[in-house]
Amino acid sequence: MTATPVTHDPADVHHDDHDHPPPSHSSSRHPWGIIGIYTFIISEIALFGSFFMAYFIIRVIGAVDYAEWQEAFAQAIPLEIALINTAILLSSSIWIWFAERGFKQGNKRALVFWLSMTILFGSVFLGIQIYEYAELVTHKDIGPSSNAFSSVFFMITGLHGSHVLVGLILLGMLLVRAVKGRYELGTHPPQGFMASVIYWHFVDVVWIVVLTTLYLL
Amino acid sequence: MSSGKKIFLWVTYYVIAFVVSMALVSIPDWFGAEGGVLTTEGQRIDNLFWGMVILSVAILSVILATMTFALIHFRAGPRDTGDGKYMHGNNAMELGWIVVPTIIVLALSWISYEVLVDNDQVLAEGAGERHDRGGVLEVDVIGFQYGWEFAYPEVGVATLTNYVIPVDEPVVYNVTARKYGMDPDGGVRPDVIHSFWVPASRIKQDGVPGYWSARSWTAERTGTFDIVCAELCGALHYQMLGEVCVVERGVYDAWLVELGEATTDSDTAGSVSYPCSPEGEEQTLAVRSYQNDDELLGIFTEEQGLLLESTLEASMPAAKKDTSA
Amino acid sequence: MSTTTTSTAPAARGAGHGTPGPRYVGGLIGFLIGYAVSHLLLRLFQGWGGVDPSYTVVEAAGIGAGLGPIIVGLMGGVPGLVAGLFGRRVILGSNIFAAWLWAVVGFLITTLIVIGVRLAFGMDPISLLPIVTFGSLGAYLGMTIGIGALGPWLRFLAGGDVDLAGDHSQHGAKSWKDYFGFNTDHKVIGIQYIVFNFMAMAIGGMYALFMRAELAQSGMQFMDGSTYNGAFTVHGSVMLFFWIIPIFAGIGNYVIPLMVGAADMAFPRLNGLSFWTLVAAFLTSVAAILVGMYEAGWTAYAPLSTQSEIGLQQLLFALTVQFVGASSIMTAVNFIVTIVGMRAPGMTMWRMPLFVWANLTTSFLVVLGTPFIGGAQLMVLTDLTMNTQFFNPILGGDPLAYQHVFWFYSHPAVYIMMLPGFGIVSDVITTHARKTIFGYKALAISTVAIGFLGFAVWAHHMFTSGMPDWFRVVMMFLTMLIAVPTGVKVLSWTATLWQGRIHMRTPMLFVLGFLFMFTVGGVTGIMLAAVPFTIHVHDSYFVVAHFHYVLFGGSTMTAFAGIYHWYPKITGRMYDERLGKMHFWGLFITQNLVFFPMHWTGVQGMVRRYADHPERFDTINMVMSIGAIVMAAVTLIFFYNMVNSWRRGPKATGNPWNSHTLEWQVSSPPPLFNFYDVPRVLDEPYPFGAAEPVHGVVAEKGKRTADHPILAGSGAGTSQEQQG
Repeated sequence: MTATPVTHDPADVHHDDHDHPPPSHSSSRHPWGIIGIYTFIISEIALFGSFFMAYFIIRVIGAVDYAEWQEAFAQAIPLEIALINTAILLSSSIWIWFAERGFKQGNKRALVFWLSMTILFGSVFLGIQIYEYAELVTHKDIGPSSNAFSSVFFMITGLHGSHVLVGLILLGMLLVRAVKGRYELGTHPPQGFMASVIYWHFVDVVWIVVLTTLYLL
Repeated sequence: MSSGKKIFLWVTYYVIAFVVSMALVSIPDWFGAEGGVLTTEGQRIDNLFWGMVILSVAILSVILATMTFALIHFRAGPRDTGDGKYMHGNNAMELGWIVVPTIIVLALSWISYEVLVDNDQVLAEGAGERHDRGGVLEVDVIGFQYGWEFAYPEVGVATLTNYVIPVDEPVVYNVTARKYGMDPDGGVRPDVIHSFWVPASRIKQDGVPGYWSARSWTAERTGTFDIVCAELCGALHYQMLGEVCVVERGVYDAWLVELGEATTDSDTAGSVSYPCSPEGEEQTLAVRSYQNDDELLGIFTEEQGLLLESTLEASMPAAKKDTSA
Repeated sequence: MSTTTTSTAPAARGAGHGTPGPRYVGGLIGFLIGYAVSHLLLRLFQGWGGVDPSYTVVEAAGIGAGLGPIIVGLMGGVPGLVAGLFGRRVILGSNIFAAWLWAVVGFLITTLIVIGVRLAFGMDPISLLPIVTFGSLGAYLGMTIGIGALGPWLRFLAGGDVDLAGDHSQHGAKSWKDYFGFNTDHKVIGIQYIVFNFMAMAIGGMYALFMRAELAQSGMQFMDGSTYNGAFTVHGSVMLFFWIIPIFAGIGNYVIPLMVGAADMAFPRLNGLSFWTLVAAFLTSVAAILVGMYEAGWTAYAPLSTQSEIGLQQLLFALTVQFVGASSIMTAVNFIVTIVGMRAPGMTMWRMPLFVWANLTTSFLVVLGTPFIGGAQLMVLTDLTMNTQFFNPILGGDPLAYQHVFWFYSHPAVYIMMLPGFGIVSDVITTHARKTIFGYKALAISTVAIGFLGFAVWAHHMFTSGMPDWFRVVMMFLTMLIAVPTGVKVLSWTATLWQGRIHMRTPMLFVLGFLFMFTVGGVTGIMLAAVPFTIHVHDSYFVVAHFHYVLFGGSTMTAFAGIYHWYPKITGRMYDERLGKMHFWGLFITQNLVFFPMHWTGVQGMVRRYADHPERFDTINMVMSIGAIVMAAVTLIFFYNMVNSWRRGPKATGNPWNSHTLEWQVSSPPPLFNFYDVPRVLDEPYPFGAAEPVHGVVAEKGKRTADHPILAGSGAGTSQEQQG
């Protein structure tokens, strides 16, 4: 929920004040948890940024001629599967938006259903990613240790994949709490719920950047 | 205290601070090591340095003067509980101390840029590329754990630890580190980053595996001068030392001929005389010849030969294997 | 507040162990069991995996692979000892002993998982580096569970009915034992940080003394090159990661909620977790030192740091960096949300104390920059464990990629290490010169400007690296520009002294010393911005001189200023002023004695990170080494003063300096939840010299803020504007 505004219960100050804090007050119209999750996401963007920076240097500025490696690299990475996976992941953002809407409308079944769909689609995305890795390593003989470009590919997609996994775990926890009826439906979702939703959208946006940088460019 | 007196006192403190600081800073002999700066480029750097020192002392003295004034004239008494003057700032002063420092740093940037351009002039000769510099003398410097090799492209021979150059001539150094080395399990891996520094020249350049980085300098007198490694490269980083031997053109020419002939008996290794041997000693330099860059950048022993072909091919992406030469 | 099982020794006695005799026997038996199990487990794994003994420091000592099981045995024995001595309640409670046990268990569980996964994929089951990597995560998780940090969160996330915000069971300290456990009170966490940081400073200083002992004379007297490399690496890493960056997190943690009028930080539990994450980082670092000291410099450039001979140590270094970064980022998120969202009514951005401005800017630098060093070291980690080729030119990689990514953080890092100190200077100088700050807005804006510009100049650490020549010119120009906002600050502070009423107390002395030392460091920084000059002195002692002037003479002096300034508030006692002055003068003189000559030796060609130096530098190095020893002795005076005054010093009032910011309007130490009612801020933070100076009003116990005479009477404070 948004931070409680200054509620002045005169009775508060007459107790022994060692037992509880003064009324909370917010100097921002945004809930603290939301400011917090956005700040955290900035740090995550920076983490991905460090790998993209390394990729930029290796590919554009580095002493080695990229063209020599590009053909082999491009041949090995299947673009079609990546595009299908993109559709799967991006659609999960729509499902979670439905879930959020279900929460606000007080519809527990919709909330649970769409949360489950989001988790399902996210898991399928991960599964396909892992399958793609296995294909690369076993059949095309390209792994993280093959060359600098494959290292970048595996690390960036791997970093993204681990973020998807964390997102799935968070969503799973939301689902458990939803099923157990811990939420006051029909109102604006609490900060923890919204933070996870925002995180999931972030994961999707990062995928678009990963797709563009690694697969398309 | 009147304004006039304040200004007078402040200026007095400033002059004292400036003079004392300049005196302290002038005590050490900044430029005298190894008989003084060796190179034209280095001389420009020393001049720039000294100019910056004077500027720095001038700036520091502003702070010192103000602090001295304040600590003498604005001290609170032992039982003083009052506050100082209520003022929030002074727009004119604040503007001044944004504009003036900006001008100072812009000027300093410009001056430094000019020195940089002057010092890098030689690098623009010819096509400005390695071994394509319009006839300027070039030496390839290769650092490795833990030593230096100096390759002379004219004759395709490299010396170990020390090297020889003629006086009063610009020399371009193409600096790198060994690209092909061996790790404890027998695999191929690059060497680490080193840095080629002759302190007397005032010029250094990092040697990075995979890079050829160029710097140049012109020695203005003969003699021997220390070489050190200036980038942490492992346990014996502090022992990665060498010596540059600067000699007259005639001596250099003769030495170069000797270098070219030093390996004709053996395909690879040999030795040459060292023109800068100490009095009474006849020192030699170990040398080896090389056919191409890969040989130059690879571990070389009589037994191992080159580590290049088989291991590199194995690590190329599978799809490229058929088309690689 | 319900006590946790931290202080349970008395309780355990009642839990069935009666007289001391059987307890000690129980402890001994517990220790032996724990030791035996751990020792044998490691032997089993070593035998199975044929662990390379060269990864243990013992190989250097010629003992062989035997010390590993002994150390691991000790690690397992301690929980057993505690269990036997204090009983089940302690070892299964939430305290450091339980944390230790669960860390060991966590390490074991993840090790088994790693072995299992490797077996499933047909790989060699026992491989040291992956085990250590994942094991450290398991140990961290176990530690945080055992210390009591994760309990409520885990219950919440599993769907339990938990009131996270209203649970104050882990808030506040009733006895010294609470400081050794998990706590959600920012004041307790602040003290935990500060004490921990000083311990780290002492360790880092000790390694510096090792270095100076070796450098006092030319030739190698005490150690070999590898050990010396380890000494300066540990010195640098410990000082940067565990002293100078977190000390400001600690001071900020204590002071910021008080300064903005809040009861605590926005996320108190996260706050506690960030401290214990720092402890985990430190323990990882200690593990690295035990296996042989990481020795690639705190900068850990690739390809040196990816060489397999030093692989285990560098791996542990990379893991240390991840934990330190995580701790830093958690704190920064907390600071940002607290400062943005929890300011008392009436505290607009332009009424925040400059210490708050500084920490807000710094926190953004942390959030944006720290992941870059995490990323760089993560690349080193995967190079070591998975054979990635980020920095291998033979396979398309680029060693300079490491440097760019690394310095993209590490340059803003130096502002992370300095900006909070700048904030302290503003607060201390106004209080002790009894004068409002000269140019408040300029100081606030220049702080933000330095933060921004700080991200644009990283490559000035790489002038000789071989990157494109034109790039150096851009970096030179931008770096020189940073001198402008920094100069604005130094000049503004100096002008603040003008027409003040200066009290030469210890905090003020440290600020004055800072002004001198930092200006010297600053002008040498401008000199280093000039590319031609740096081409000569890069990696020489000139650079060492520069950064010690700004980090020691700059940051550390401001940290001391803050410690002395807020000492009465934190401890409720006054420190000994005479000892404080001795500490200051001793530090000031020895700092210049040790670090000024380095400017000269650097220009003369003495190379940095060299275990040995030419004979012509002998005398000056001997002088510097003696200075360092005196510096260490002087620091002992400080520690004595801090401890002795806390126990026996005269009690301090709520506002011994007669200052105006909100933290001085409550008791020393502050009440459990800082304020009895939400304070109200009325005017600027440093209204010294105003006709009726007031910054904000704070309610007394049992009263409301609205009933305060200033508010109930004439309304807002009446400060008059005056152009000075």
